[in-house]
Amino acid sequence: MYDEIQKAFDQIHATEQMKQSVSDYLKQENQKTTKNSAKFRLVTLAPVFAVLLLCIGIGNWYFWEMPVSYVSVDVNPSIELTLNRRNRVTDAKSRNRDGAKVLEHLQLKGKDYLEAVELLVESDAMQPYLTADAELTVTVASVKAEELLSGLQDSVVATHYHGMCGSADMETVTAAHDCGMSLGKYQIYQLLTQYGSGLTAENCQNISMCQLQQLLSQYENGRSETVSENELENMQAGCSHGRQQHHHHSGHHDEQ
Amino acid sequence: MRGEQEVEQAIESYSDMIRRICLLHLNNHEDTEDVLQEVFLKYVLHSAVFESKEHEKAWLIRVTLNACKDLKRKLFRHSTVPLDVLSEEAASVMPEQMELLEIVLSLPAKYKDVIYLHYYEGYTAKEIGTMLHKKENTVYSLLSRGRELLKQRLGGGRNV
Repeated sequence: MYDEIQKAFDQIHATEQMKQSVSDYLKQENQKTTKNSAKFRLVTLAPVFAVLLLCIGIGNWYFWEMPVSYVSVDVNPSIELTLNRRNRVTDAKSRNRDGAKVLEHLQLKGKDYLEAVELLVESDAMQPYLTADAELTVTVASVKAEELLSGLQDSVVATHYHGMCGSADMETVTAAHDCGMSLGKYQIYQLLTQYGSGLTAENCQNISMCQLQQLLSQYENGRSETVSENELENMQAGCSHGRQQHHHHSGHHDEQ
Repeated sequence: MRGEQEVEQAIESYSDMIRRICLLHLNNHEDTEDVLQEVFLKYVLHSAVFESKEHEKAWLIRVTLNACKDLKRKLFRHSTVPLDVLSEEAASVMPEQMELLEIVLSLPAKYKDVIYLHYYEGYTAKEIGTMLHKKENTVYSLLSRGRELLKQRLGGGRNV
């Protein structure tokens, strides 16, 4: 029986076609597995790519949009513009009440700094302050201050309004912000403090640039006494008095 | 995963054996091809190392038997007697052996496996017990009962 069963089953073989179909099937499965593992790798790596792109995006945005320059415009309204690496305005802040009024109807964000300064100076809200004796001061704090200043000196700020353009250290920006003052005003305040005027940062905020400049020139011409309370009140009142007469002066300015 | 060469070698060595086990349980070539594919796919994906060729062969027998059972369950073919498949082999099997094969295939499944494994593959009752997860004594009983059935169906003229 052993032999007979051996002989009987010995005649049963897998056909070549069966073997071939197994080989083909395994190759097919192998390709699927390879494709799936490739897909799996891609799926696994997708979040990594996404994070990488996000980082590049944020890095790029930070590089171009981070504040690198500050431009302050002071008459009595004090306004400070923050510029990005492309010299475009990313923020416009008022540093006193008059400044807030001027900025109320102006949209400066995204504009080139020169266009923004010109818009600001030539705005209807700013015009009343630009009297004949007004001291328009534009102060720049930037690593490329020279480039920004040369642009300003060729603009209406200097050519039409005879504004003064100057620069300040980047450290001054922080100190000015701590006192709640614009760059331009802070610089004059610093000088007046050095001369022993006795003025506080708070006093200065309510005095126009014109009067601060006049006070500074008095000290530069030899004045030594501190500012009295009476004088301070006059200066602050003078400031508001000046504002009431702005329309009159504006006409005067137009004649220039 | 196993290398292509190792798999090709296994296909060459064990396809006949798997084909014979399929003959015991399945009805046609298509089902046999399905089982062959499934068994060798499992072989490819089986990462454990076989201790010996004998270990590998026993593993393949067990996987083939399970694959046949699964396929039958899937296709609801429990009650079908796998004799049709023999007609596909008629051209290659000698007429005198055809009768014996028909009788073996007509046995209940539990006898066919032990008869085949003992008489053709030469496994002892103990080895078959390990392979099929059955007690050695159960295998002896199945072999003895299977032999009786074969004798009866062969007409009692042969000495099994």
